[in-house]
Order: sequence, then C-alpha cells, then structure tokens
Amino acid sequence: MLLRRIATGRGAAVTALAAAAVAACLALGWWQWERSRPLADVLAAAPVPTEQVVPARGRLLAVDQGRPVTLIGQWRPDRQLLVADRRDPAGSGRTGRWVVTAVRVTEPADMLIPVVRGWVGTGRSPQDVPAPPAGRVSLTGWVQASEPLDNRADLVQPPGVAPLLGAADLVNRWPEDVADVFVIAAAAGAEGRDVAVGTESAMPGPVQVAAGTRDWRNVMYAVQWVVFAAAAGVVWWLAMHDLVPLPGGTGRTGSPGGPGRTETTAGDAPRERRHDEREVAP
Amino acid sequence: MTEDTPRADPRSRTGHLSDGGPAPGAERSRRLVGALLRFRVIAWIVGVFLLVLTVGVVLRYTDWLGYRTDVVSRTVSPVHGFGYMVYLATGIDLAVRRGWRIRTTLGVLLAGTVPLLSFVAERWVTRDVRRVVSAGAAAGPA
Repeated sequence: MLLRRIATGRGAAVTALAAAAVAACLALGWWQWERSRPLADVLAAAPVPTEQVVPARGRLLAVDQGRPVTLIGQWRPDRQLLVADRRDPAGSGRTGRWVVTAVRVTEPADMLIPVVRGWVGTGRSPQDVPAPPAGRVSLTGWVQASEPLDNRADLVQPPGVAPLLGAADLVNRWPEDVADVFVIAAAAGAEGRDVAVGTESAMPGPVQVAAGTRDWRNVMYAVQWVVFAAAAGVVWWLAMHDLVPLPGGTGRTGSPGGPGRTETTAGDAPRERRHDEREVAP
Repeated sequence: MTEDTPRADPRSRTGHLSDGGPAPGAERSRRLVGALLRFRVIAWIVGVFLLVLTVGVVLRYTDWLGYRTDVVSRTVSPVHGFGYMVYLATGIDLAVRRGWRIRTTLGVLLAGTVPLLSFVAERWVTRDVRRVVSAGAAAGPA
C-alpha cells in the first residue's frame, strides 16, 4: 500500500521531504555525538601554566594528557636531540624525526622539560639541526606524558637520535633532572619565534589526548535527535495516508492508524470522506 | 489556526463517524480525553521550560543583565529536549485518536518549539478535542 502511495508524484514529494527531515535529525544527532567526546574539551581548554599540571615528581594526570599549557623558561641549546620514527606532520607520508630541545624551568622544580619544536627528514644529521639561542622562551603547546619504553621502538639509533621521547631515556643522556612529561609546541607565536628554527615541516599536533568521559549533555542531545528523526518518520507515515490518494481511487481512509481504521473504502469518493476541520462549515 | 470554528454545529461531523472518525462511543471518548490530558500536561511543562530556556539562551549569548552565564541554558536544555520528546509522542497519539489532518498535526507538533505558541496550541487543541467529545456524547452511545 505504502509503496503504491510513494510511487505517486505527491507521495514522492512527501517522502523526499520526510527523508530530508530524518536525515537532518540524524546528522544533528551525529554532530552532538561527536561533540560529546572529551577530546574537544581538553584541547579547547585555555592554556594553563605548565607547573600547574606537571608534578615535581610523578606522572602527569591522565585527565591532563594533551592539555594546552604555557611554558616559560630558558632554552638549553646544548640539550637537543632528535626522536626517531615520526611521521611528517604535514602529511607527506614520509617518516622522519622530531626535533626536541630542552627548556629549563624552575617551577614546580629546577628541571628540564623536553619540547618538541618541529620535524626533520631522516636525511638530516642531528648535528646539522640548529638549536634556538640560549635565553628566555615563552611558548604554548600541549603537555604529554613520557612515552613508555616498549619493544616496538628500534632501540638502535645513531648518536643524537633517541628511539622514543621520555624521561626513562633522557635521564641516561642528560645529567639534569628531567620532567616525566614533554611539551609539543604549538605554532610559534610572537615570543616563540625561535621554536621552529631549523625544522622542515609543520608543527606536530598533540598525540595523546585525555580519554575522559563523554559529556552527558551532548550524549542526551544525540539521543533526542534520533528520537526526533523517528518522530519525523511517524509523521511521514501519517502524511502519506492523509495527503496521498492511492492510485486506484482510494483516498484518505478515516483516521490513519486509529482504531477502527479501514483501508478498503474503494468506491467511496475520496475527497468527501475527509474530516478536515475546515470542512466543518459554520 | 484558522481551522478553529467553535461555532460549528458538532453534529455536522457525524457523517464520517462511521468511517472510523473520532468519538463514536463512550470508550473512545474516554481514551480521547485521557490522551488530551496527557498532552496538556506535557504541553504546559514544555511551554514553561521553553520560556526558561529562552531566557537562558539570552543570558548565555548577550550582555542582558550585565553579565553572561550558561548555567541556566546548560541546566534546562537537556531537560527540555526530553520534554519535547514526550510532547511529540503525546501529540502524535492525540492526533491519531482525534483524526487530525496532517497539517494540523504538524502545526501542533511544531508549535511546541516556538516560545509562547505552545500555550496557544494547547488552548486550541483542548477546545477542538472537547468539541469532538461532546459531539460524540450528543450522538449517544454507539
């Protein structure tokens, strides 16, 4: 029955309209589902001073993974290395290395914080990558917990190249205290003009972001949009029975879906059996 | 709602009642009245929430009252969303029992999204359904 109604011009128009409404509701529901991810919340947070989230000892809290931070300290050009096996942030597909230079901070303790400040191809020798000049630096970036030692990293690397980026490796290279975090610098700002010196590609974005709980509000909005889509479907079903006469002569058949509804009123004049409010003439 | 013709003779509707139209018997009248009550309750709740939400959105995006806050809108909008879900369900239920044309049904359902209009719709719906129910009573038990 429904198929025959859809096949009419009017039925097709009503169906197309309803399909658009359902699609819009589902798209909005998907949008809210995506918005509910905590990813956006952590990354969208205003930068906090590094010492607020980096402990003097111990690990970064999971909820602070990927949090934007402002880092103020002194460049240590003599504490620079490359980190192996990194994809080109610009998306060329090439594998290269991160350029990492330490920044010495005094808060929350006197220690070095490694800063990822760019990417170079594998062809560049570590000695050829210039370091930023010693002195004060102020930059923004994303704070990340140290990468763990694991057997996926190729531990055999040339001098000046680290297999991974983490305090577990760096304590063997640098005599100073090293924070158990690193910071991936954002695009260089006014005071961070030295950040990208000597690098070849775009700045790497944050790699690990806190996997907190979803925002329950957006989850609920998503559920609601799905229900609204279902309601649009029901209204479409009602509209098909109300507006589209069956090609064969049958028109609207009583109250659609209601008790006592009859589909077989063939022979009745379709238009005259409608109980439209407007037809209750005064 | 230009279709609203309260002065119409209710018995002029009886021509279609045998066709499964509204309110031929006491049982269906009773169910229709129940559906109306459910709709009216949720229409009022949604209407009030929508007014509060409107204030909340203004507070969130403008400097009305001199400061901005999203507390009101963040609190009310999820609740209002669920209220509107129930509004849709009761509205469709009532529309099917009452046998409205689709444009009336759509108008009533969408009126729940416009501040203040839901109150107008609720009044119109109440009068419309009561008229039909009293028509059924006048026609006597089926």
